[in-house]
Amino acid sequence: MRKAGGLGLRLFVFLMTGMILSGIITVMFLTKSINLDKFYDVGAVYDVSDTDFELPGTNWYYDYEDELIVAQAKDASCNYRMKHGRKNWGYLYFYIENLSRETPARIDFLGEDSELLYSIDFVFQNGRSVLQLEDKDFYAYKVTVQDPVSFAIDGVQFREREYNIAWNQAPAVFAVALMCCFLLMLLTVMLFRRCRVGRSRSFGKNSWLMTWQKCYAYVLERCSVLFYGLSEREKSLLRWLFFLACMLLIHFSSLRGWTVNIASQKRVVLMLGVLILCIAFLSWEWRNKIPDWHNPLAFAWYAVWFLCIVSDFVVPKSLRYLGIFMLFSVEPFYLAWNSMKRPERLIREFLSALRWFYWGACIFCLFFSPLVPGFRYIGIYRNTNAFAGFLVTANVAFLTSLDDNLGTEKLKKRVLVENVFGLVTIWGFLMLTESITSLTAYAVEWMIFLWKQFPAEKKKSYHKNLRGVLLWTVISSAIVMTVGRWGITYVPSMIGTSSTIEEREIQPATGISPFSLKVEAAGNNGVSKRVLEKITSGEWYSLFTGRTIVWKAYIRNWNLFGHSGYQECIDGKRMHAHNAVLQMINNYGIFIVIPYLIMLYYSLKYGIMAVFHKKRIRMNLFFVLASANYVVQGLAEDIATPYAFLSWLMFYIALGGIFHQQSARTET
Amino acid sequence: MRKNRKLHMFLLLLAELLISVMIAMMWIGGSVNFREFLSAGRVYDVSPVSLEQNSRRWGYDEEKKGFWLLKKWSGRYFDLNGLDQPWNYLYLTIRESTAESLSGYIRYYGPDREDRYKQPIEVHVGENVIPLDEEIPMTELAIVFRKAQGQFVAVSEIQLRTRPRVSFLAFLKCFAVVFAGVFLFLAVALFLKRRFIRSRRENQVIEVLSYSLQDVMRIWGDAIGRRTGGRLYPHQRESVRKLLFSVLIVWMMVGNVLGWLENADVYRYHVLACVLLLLAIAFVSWEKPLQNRFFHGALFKSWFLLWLGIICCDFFVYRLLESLVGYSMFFAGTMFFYLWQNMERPDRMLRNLMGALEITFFFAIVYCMVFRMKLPAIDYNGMFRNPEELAMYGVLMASVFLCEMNGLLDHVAERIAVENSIGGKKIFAACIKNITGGAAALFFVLRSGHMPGILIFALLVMCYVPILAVKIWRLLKKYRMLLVHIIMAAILAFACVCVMFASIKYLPGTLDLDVKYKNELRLTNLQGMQKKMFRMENPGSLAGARAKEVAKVPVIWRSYARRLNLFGHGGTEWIFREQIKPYNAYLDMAYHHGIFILLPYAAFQITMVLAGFNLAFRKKGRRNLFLLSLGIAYICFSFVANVEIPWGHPLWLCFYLAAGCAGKMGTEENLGKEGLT
Repeated sequence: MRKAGGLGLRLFVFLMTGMILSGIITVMFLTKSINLDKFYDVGAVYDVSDTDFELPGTNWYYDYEDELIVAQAKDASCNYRMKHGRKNWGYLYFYIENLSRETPARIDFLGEDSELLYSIDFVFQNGRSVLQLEDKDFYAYKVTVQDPVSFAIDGVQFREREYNIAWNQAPAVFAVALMCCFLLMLLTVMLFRRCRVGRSRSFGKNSWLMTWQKCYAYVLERCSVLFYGLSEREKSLLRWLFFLACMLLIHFSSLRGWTVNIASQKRVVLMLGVLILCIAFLSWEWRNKIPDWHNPLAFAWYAVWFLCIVSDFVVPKSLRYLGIFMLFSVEPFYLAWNSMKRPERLIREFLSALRWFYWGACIFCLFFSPLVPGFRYIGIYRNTNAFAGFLVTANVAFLTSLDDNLGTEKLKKRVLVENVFGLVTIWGFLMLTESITSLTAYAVEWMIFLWKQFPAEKKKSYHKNLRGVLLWTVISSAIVMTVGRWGITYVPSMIGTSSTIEEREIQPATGISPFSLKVEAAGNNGVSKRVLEKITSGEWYSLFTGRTIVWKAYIRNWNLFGHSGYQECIDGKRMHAHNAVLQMINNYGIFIVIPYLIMLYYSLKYGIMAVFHKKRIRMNLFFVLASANYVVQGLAEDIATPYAFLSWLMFYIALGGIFHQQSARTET
Repeated sequence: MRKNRKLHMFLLLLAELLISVMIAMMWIGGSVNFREFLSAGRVYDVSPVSLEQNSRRWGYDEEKKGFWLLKKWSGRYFDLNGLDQPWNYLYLTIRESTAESLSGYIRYYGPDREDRYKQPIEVHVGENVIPLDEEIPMTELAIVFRKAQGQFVAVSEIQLRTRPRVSFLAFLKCFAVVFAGVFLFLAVALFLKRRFIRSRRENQVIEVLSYSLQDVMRIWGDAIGRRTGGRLYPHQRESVRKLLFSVLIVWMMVGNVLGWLENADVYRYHVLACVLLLLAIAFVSWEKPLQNRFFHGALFKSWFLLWLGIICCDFFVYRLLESLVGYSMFFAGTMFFYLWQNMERPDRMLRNLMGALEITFFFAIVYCMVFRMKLPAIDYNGMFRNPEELAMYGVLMASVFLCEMNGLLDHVAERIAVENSIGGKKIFAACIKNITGGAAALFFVLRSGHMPGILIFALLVMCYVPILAVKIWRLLKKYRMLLVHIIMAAILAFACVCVMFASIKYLPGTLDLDVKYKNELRLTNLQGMQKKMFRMENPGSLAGARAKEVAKVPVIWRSYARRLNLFGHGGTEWIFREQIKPYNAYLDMAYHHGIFILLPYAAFQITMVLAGFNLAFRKKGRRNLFLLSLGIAYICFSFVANVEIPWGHPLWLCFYLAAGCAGKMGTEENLGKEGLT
């Protein structure tokens, strides 16, 4: 049997499996509970949102400059409502810092009609205070401090059970568990090897992968008859149309919430699947040779979706059928793509559709989505970060196109202007969104683009084109900064076409707090200030804009087969994980992390290899850009939620091409 | 097409009928509503059984089937659907009354019998439509007749609605008009299509899909089949198949009994296990590299359309249980057919299935004798949770044993013709097995007390007995011992049934091994005074038992028919404050998967019976009556019973799987005609 991966990969899988298993055993031991639905079973936890602490009370206000709560007089108090659905909690954890002096304090727990249920007296002091609560439902609590003091609340946490995990035992338990796991796994591997002695170990033509591919090859061969007789041009046009339809479908399903309802979600997945299958049927070119997918990326890809199907079966999800969609729709697409003599055509059509979509979005922004000074720009989405994510995805299309065209001798002016103008407008929009994650992805994309420009020998035409690019960049920037900005600020209100996308999450721009009632001119704030604030804060919490709490909530809920939906995070609100890996673990169980990480790693690796390959195809920058975009955005944004983002679609489309690159390498 | 012209004509007529029903319902409902054609709003029918029950002020007269009003102010409470909701209309139908008109009032009650409103009424013999106050919700309602002491009143129906009722006559009138219109439209459309459109594009799409599916099945079938069935000898294959069929049947029965079919969390695992077993049977049957088949016969078209229709509905209606059957049968069932049709001798599969049924029946009998006691005056449920399912099982087993007996006689005739020598002991043993099995099946059917089951059993016997009698008569001329064998086997069967009778009545109680299921339906035939007398004689014996309420069935059917729509519903309809199945397979299918599922469903049933008929009376090859009897029994049950129990009853499994055998025949014929062999 030819091994799909090297020793390093196998060692990684071995180590990860051992570590995960021993991690599970350790936390189960520490929590003294065997619960496969929640390994770290410490009961329910409710983290109160830090914005609550900025609320004013009686003789109680929040000082925004010093970021301290000030109790001005004796018996100053503040009321906080319980926003979590659960009203009965066992313990209250109060984290205080920068307290001017210790003072007696009291917490009153109030009923539904603000009637007093019971009170707890304690001493207000720096650090953690743990209060045991009575077994009663309460809807609000009131904190009263006896003396005038100033302090900062680092966190308030309600817990179902007392937090008494003996973490000092953890290393020892983990080490023992790890050793046992490794021994057990070694024993299993040896036993398997022993059983296989004497049997044919050659998968060869009969491997399950080949069988799977053969199935699709037959289906594609039969179904491609449906588009028989179309010219290449017509096929290209149809593919472009189908890609555009996929993008529109994904955009509207996320905007209109079509994936919320299970029946409509099924329709969306079916339509998406059929569209991608149609592209596959259009692209199929039978070569009597099935592409060789014997590589770690393909194996990891299969493992991810197999685990996904198992998890979907065991725990019905709010967003389902991803594994089925991938294996029964996207995989034939990959196979068809791999069968193409000129695979770059498909990339071109996809990126062209993406660019068209982007220009459509620009027109929408110009006429229907006004920029409100003091608020982060939302564009065509409900959420500013989602819009920023879309922008960096569109950036991939323009960068790839520019990279592909920079070397051509007779570069069409239309192509040059379109790409440069696209890149400049994306930068302009991105600045308005102030999304740090997307800006990071944007920077990474540009770095990759610039890195690719350096090593190769450049012709004269390249330098000529580059000058053209610089010139048009200056012109486009001038247009975008003046006319563009004025346009999106005033045109929608002038012609009365400001649209109202329902449930938009409006976020203030940097320096503007919802409670401060202090509005600065939009020009005085911005990305640089936001980045500076984050870096100088010196706290993980501020650096990641509170995502650490979300991540903790997700890590707390790791389990074997995943959960049906998002976790309750801040204020008991369900929100996505703000991290692709955590999201995948939450959706499909802890063990998906191994193939998922392998898939991400190899997508980047093969993407880079595609750039340097001897038989490299045109537009090869697309693969590495799409992968990098997915990985970087996935660090702190929601990108793993299926059928919701174009970045998600682009990444899984790009994987097909990387399969092909790898197969070309192994074939040669 | 020419061969299936009659079938196509029938289907076209059925399609027209369904379209007309849909349009007529929407017309009457007053809106284009594909979620519920009739737009009937909320409807609550007071149970007909509660209209035959005595109360303090309304004395029920069993002879006259009505009430004597016993007090000056004679009132009676009626529980509604359990929710505090307002209603717009009360339909009170009085069949007979001694007074020309009765006056009184209706009282509206909230939870805890909170008196909310009093509305005066005056009712006459016939249908009384009483508008209710739509502002005031109620959970309970009381009808009080004033100054009516000594009067007689027979109430045949009480119904509450939020929208006015439409009479059946009005529906028929509307339907007739629409039917004529649709007929005309379809005729013109067909004419135009034949005249102008000659595209075969849709056929191409179907062909592509059919062969693509077959390609996938071929590749996986070869890949897995070579490693499973390919490594077994033929006799090993048969044994394994029989074993797997037995496990599948037992697993389904266990799932049914434990209520897994109604539990959304468990059902998918249950179906997965069934699917895996079915696929295992299919792969074990692999004999040689697979070849694509001609899947364009009427039976297979209806098979595909049936399950695809169910899957399609899943994209429009959120359902927890109903859609799984579509996916499982479409993929696993089709795979099973494909491998079955690639067998050298496909009749062996059917024989293995029947063999497995016999084995499991033996275990079922033993189980019933030891663990399931027959309670006095209560219909026997056997190994199931209600008598209806036992009756269906009994009928299925009867058809198995009758078919085996028929096969035995054919076999004897063949042996006499060829060798002129017969293995007497073997034939005697086979006679004992078949006659005893048939008798046990009859015993179960009779014990279930399910009248439609008994009638269907009688119908099957009436079909079989003349055939068997003629065969026995012919054989007796050459082999007189056969009669002795049959008589002795019959005597032995009688003895066995006597033992079963006694065991089922006393053994589980004596050994204290009686097993009771959760949510078991206990039905009794006793009514009125008989029931009271029995209760007095045997206190506690009828606890939880319900009278057979045949009167409810039309109301149940109406309730289901009222909710018909395009893509079906999830769950079961709430009638008389409980979830009740429709007691009709056609209504069941139309309710759950939309009205147009009836097209492939009816087509499948008809083609199955036709295929069974061909198999039973073909000139070449061994005849088999099992398919025909199975088809007849299933269709008969479809009209009066909840026969659609996906992955829960052997009759359901056998009916759908047997299509594989019928399909083989059609396939061979079609391949020959198409010149593909």
